[in-house]
Amino acid sequence: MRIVAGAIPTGRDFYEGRRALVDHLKDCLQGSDVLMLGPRRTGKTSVIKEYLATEEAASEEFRYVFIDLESTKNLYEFYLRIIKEILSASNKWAGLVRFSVDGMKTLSNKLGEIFDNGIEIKDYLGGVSGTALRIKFPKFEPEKVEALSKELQRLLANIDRQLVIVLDEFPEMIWKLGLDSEDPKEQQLEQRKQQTELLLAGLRTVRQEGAAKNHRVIVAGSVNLDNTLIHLQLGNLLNDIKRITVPYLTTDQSVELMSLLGSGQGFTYSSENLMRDFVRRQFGRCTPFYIQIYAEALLQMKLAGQVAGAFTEDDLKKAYRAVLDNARGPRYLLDRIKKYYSKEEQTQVHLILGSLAKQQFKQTGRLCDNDCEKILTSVDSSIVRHQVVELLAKMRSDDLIQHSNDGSCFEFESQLLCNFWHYQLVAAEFLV
Amino acid sequence: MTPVMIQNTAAYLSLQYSGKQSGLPPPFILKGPEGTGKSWVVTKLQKAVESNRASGIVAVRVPMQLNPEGLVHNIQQYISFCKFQYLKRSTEISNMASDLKVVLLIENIDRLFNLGGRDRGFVLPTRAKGAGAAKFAQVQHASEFRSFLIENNRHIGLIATAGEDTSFMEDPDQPFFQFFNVLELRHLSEPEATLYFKDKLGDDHLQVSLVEFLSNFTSSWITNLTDGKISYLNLLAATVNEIAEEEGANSLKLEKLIETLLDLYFYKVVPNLELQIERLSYQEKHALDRIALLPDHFFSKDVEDISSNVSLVMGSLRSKGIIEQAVETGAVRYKMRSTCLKAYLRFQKMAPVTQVMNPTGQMTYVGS
Repeated sequence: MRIVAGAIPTGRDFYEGRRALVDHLKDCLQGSDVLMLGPRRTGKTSVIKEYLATEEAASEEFRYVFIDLESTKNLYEFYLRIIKEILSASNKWAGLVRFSVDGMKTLSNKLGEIFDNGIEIKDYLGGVSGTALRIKFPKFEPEKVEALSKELQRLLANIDRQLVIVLDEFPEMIWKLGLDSEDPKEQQLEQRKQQTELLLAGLRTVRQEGAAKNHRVIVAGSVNLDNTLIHLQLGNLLNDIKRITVPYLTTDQSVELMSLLGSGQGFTYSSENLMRDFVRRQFGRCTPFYIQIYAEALLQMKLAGQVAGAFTEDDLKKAYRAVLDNARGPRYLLDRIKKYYSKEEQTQVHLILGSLAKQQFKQTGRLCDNDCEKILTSVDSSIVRHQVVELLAKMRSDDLIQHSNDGSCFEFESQLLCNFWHYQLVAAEFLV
Repeated sequence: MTPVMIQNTAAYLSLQYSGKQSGLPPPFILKGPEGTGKSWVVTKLQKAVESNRASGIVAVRVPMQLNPEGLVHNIQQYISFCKFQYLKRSTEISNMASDLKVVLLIENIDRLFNLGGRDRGFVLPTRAKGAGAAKFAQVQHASEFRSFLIENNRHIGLIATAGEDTSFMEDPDQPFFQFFNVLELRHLSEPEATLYFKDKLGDDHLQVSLVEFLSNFTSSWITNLTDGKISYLNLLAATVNEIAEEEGANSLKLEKLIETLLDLYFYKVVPNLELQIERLSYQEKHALDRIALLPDHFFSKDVEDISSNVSLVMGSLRSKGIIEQAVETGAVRYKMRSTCLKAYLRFQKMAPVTQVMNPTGQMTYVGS
């Protein structure tokens, strides 16, 4: 197994501990479309890609398109990309789309008409997968978007086999809607709401029409999708789609993943169980990404000639420290707080995180809503309850903290994060 | 003898692309300051891939004169061209372009995607106005490239290099956040640099004498002159070999040889230094000129030391911020090396020195 610290582990790099999720995804798709949610870096795309690869290997009849919506900035592009990827797939799988040459021309002409006969449409449709769109988009008009949606429905109606359409980084696209206009910020926000509503309604139509042909749609994104839609007052427009949540790795899974990554690199340790005990204690439950960058830090030490033979406990500690100091590691949360919280909120957030880290690090107690209120009011007596509740909700939606299993208190998602915040805000210690 | 870290890194990456493993490896970034051997590793990998035709992987070294706008389109064209070249040379008729996998080799990818800064990244014109719109466009291009890589990850891999500033992959709001595997290269330590340098020189009597003389002079001369950068070590070694060949072992005194060596070495290194100095403001350049006249600070690496003495010269503590910035660019120590080391040598070894003003109005030292 190779270290994949960032990209999408699939095939031989896919962690088999997640196989059950792949099977669950397959089962859910038998009966419905799927909305796949999970915090950042928990492996949503990896699970989806592994599902697609497994099904493609198992059946010659399996057809799919995978669209990463990260770069999609408006609804025109959204529909055009799906249409384009389906046409590209029909190059790969001949006969996928039951279109004659005239049918293709008609589609191309109709799309061209929507965009005032721009020639680039034909080039774009005929290009290879991933070709960037170069046309100049007109101002947003709901009628044009609806016309595009109709063309997509017509295209899907001409596909007789089951097609799986994956729309990854869906929430990322929603955040960009409305931003490419030159209008003032308030109007951009209003446009985002309008366009998101149109998007979800159009997606629902496509899904319903597609269901008649047994097509399936997988929409993937972070848990912030729910908060985003609630914020836009559109929370009910995705409630008819089956949800799968991709969880963090359990402690045992973290240990197992690290063990597999280490074996793949030929790592050895100065004593049996050294690595297992260390990962169990210092990572606990966490995202696969942090295990991957930890393995990468150990690899870096090997390549630099700092470790000739087996890793000692000191080496494991050094690598752990490197993860905490790494800008790709939990350090990015510091920047996030600086960017998205006011100065006042930053102080409050640090107080809460510091207190929680102190308690969770030493396992001396728990932190609940009331405790947070006491901490904040002891510094600023003007703070009221609802401000505390709002702040805690914001921190949870940013994955800074989460509710404990029984829902009564707060905790960090992983021991790694607890250690990080302890190191940053409380004391120089970072190892329990 | 190639330094261990660089050798290991090249070997590791070559193994990833040896074709013995199924599927392409994840995208890698080689990160490190300039002169740490990143290009060398990329070239090694390219040769390893090209010599292993059985793997069906085509190495595509993307030209550096790229613009983020149209990047995906340009890269696709270049991939098609390289595949065509590969198939032309292939003896196996059964190979088809669609079967081939690709590893993209892109150097200095940070220059394409780092946002902001006078000298960093590209500021693209867009129909909306202002620096914010330009940055939005730049992030868009990064998004497109990322989407392209993800959608084609089964047949397109990527090895990129970047300098020390990799903010484009450390900012969570940017598309390449947490996208790459990162391997870091660093400058060589004094012992590593000395070993590497001596290995480059061989056993010639003159070279050994030069190295020993400079080692007696100061223990960290090699780091002071080259910063442990492999490219500079190569230049220094080439300079020594050049002098040995031209001047011969006995015709010049060692002090004179040192002076010739430094002149020639800095002549080679100057284009790099000029670029760094060019980026400084007028005030910074002026401060540099002043610092260059204080030979005792050649071996001082502390900003405090340098800046406190500069303030004596300039009569003000306002210069401290400027000096700190100039030191960070490395330009100070380089310029100091050029002028000050020569002056220092004169102080230590040769006849008394006189300070004179040259025709451009700068103070300089001349031997009597």
